Amino acid sequence: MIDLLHRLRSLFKRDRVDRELDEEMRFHLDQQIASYVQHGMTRDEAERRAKIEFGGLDQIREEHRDQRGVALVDDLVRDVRYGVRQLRRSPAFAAAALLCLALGIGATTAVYSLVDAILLRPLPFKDADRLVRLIERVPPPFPGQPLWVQGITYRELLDWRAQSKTFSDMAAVGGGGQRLVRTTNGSAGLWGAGATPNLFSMLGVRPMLGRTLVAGDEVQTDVVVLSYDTWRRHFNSDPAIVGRRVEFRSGALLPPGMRVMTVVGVLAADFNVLGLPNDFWIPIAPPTDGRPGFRFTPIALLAPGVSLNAAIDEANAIGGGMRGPWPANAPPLTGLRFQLDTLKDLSVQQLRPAFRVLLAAVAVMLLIVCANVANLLLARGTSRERELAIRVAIGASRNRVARQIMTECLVLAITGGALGALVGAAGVALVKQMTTIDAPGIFRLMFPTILPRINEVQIDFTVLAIAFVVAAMTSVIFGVLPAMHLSRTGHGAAMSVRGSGAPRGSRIRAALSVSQLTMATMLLVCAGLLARSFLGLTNVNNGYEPSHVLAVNLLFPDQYSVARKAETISTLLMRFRALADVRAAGFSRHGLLIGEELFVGRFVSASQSGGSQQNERIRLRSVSDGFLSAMGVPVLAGREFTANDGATAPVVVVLNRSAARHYFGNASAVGQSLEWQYGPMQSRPVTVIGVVEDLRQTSPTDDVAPEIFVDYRQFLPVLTQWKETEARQNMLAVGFLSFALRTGADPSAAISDVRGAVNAVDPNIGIDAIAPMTQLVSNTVARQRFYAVILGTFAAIAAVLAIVGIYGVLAYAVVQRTQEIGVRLALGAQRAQVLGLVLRKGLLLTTIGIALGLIGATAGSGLLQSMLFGVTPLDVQTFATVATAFAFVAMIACYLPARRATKVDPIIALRQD
Amino acid sequence: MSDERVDLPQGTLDLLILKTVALGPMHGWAISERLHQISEATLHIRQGSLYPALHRLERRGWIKARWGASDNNRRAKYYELTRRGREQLDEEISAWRKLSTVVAQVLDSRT
Repeated sequence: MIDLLHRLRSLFKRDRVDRELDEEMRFHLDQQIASYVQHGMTRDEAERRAKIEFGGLDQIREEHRDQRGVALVDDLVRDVRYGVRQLRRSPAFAAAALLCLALGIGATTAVYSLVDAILLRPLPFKDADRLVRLIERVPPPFPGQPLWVQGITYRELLDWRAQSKTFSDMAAVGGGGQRLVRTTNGSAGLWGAGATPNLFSMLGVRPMLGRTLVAGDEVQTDVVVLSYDTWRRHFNSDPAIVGRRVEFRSGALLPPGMRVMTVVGVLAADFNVLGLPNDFWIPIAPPTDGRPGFRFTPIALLAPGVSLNAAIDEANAIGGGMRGPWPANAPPLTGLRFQLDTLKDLSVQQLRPAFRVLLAAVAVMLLIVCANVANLLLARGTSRERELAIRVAIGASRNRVARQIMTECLVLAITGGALGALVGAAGVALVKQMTTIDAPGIFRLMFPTILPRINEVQIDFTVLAIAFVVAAMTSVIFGVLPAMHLSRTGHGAAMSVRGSGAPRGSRIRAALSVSQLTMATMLLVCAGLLARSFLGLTNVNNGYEPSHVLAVNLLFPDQYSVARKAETISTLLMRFRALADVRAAGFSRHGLLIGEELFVGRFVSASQSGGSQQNERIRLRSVSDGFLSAMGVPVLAGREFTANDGATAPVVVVLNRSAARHYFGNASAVGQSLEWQYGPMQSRPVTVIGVVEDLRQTSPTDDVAPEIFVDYRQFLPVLTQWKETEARQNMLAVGFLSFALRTGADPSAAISDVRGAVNAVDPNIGIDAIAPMTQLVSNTVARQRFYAVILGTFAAIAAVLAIVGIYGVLAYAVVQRTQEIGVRLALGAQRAQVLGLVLRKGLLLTTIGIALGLIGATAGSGLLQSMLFGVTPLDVQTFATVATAFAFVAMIACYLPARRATKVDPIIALRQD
Repeated sequence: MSDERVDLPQGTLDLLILKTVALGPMHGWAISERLHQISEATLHIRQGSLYPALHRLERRGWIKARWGASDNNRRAKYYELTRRGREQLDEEISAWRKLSTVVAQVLDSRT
């Protein structure tokens, strides 16, 4: 310890230590002189004698330095400098080795970090591994369908909890939905869920502010716990939120109702159960009337020591007792009626196989990286044998030489490791960015999570350290090995003999290189297929033009009458159209990108009534004038709705291309008439005024289907005429309050204007979401993009490794055969022949590798079938492009060492013998 | 002043230095002078070995150094024994005694 301190002091206060040493020596000298003078010498003689005795001051200083370990550090600095210089002198080698190390360490770190956070780490709950979800499989309501699943009612939950011995606690979630909430920043549509109050204590969740739901809340139910995000975004992180009373109204498609809720707490960030919407949590209340009430999803905590199987047995016993025997007329039950799954499994089940493959892939990759680096170092070490032998011959100690090489390797490894850390961090950031669904409000519900718990992912430094150590050890071992060989054989031998004879392990190296090429080819083909699918998806004509469209989703207070809502919609549209940059604006009852299908009666063409296909139900869409042009849907014939198609005008419809073909074949649809039949008695004629392009609402992978558009202003009186209730009218004609605004410039620039306009029309209107359409649409292909990029990245890494691999193999071979090549050249071989000699070997390896890869891809690409769109797994173009491009790059990698072989000077090569 | 020199066995110099500074804080020159005198001029420690040895002992924590004023009022570096140094000295003395006894026995034995 003291030793270390001294050394450190020597290092950092070097000048001072040297000065003190000088002073001490000076003092000694002076004392000696004084002593001699006392003994009768003259001053001059005393000085001379003392100095002679003393010896060189420099020598002492050096010795002193050596001793205090400065020499080691000085040498190290010199070695590092020398190592960096050596690496810079052979940039191809340095770049290849660094690239390998960075990619290997980076990819390993990124993948293991993801796997650790998503698969391995327990969910952030107390006793997370004992938490299970219970579901019951029930006969489908319509024959011919697969079995449905359902939860249990509140009463059943109480019974179940009383009977169960394998559960130590049992809670339930569900029954949430959208609410119009009066927040600090105006009205907002929030999506929440209900929970029995014991959920939070069972999960061991601590609130960030106030409290969670607690026992008693199921009686006094007007309390709410907010999510961290809601608190931050909608309540401006109000520190005094606890105790605040907030107005909650029913959202779209829920029975009307308004309650004033007291905020009792704020949850910590990222709290999530079963992926339920979690803007807020409200207590599930017992039903007050005699009816069974809603069904909820039960979540239970297994008692300590109880196995999952025991719990499943008990669940089927208890549930079977409650339900009685499986209905005789129902489809047969395969498997168990009541199922338990751990929450962990539910969140990661689908990902597990994919991640296993990924883990194996990076493990193999790290090995390949090590093999490549070893190859490169061996090639380099062998070519440097002479240099090292000379260094030893002129007096460097073997240890010193070994130390220097080790330092060089460590410089390589550390630089590679640092780059690897960067690559890993970039990889994790990329995955995070690509799997984050960027959609507000209701749109969030449209896009399932790509990777669960992605927010918890962080670079795992343990893994980084392990990957780094593995790589560093490889480079040190294979870097120093040639030097060890040197010390064993003696420098005389090393100087004269240069790797003659068949290189051992060259077969292994060649096989390794071929397998790398094979794997890379397979991955490249798969990545190519996915990339083509993704490009195909982005090029699909969705039937509308999302750029310059701003999507707006609003929420009206539920107590507004349908008439008032309709009126507000036209006022809003007027205000929107008056905004500076808005070219067109329209309303749609269907949320944009929301895949809800609505059928209202039947449409029958007058000319061919009674045909079987006439009975098909055709999707109906309630929109406003201007909606189709705002969305940029091309009008193929006739016109879209205008302001004149109001409540009192004749009822008109617009067909999409499929509907027009469905009813009128190739004949013109515009001006034709359809009969709109509703129920057994009701019917009215409608006139087709236009035909528009087929619209793919939710995703480019949708099939197109016939659709009929009707103006909501005409739809409402029709429904009134057909004696529909107000609630039905609201549901059918108003529904989701979605608006599309076409802007001239960047749609996001209009967001604040739109907010202002909404608040000016009616501050009670909740703004659920405002976002540029392109941003939302990009989410529809986010999963495909993620697959393509991930596989593409791995393919690219594999390709780089394979290229470096074959380069390393050939470079080593050339070094090994320098002498042979020299002899050939001396005996009159042409440079071109030598070039061919090396290239042939490279070509052979490349051809075998790529050919095997193509065969493998043919066999394996079928696995991708479900992820492909518009490409077959055996797409010839992809296979051919990958093979050609990869072969070309591989040949460049072969050419570099081949060219070096032609530069061998026969005289020098021979003289070395 | 004799030129008769005795080569010190490895490690002995450390022992001698420790023994010398055990008497009290002393600077380098004084240590060499004292060794010179006590050994009746047999031992002449060269500065080239003395100072490295001192610094080595200091690094091991057996002696510690501090700057003080010398008799003639100059700044000099004084070395003194630490507690660990004293333990080390005791150990080394007993080890040396044992060794020298054994060596003497071997040398004196008549066979």
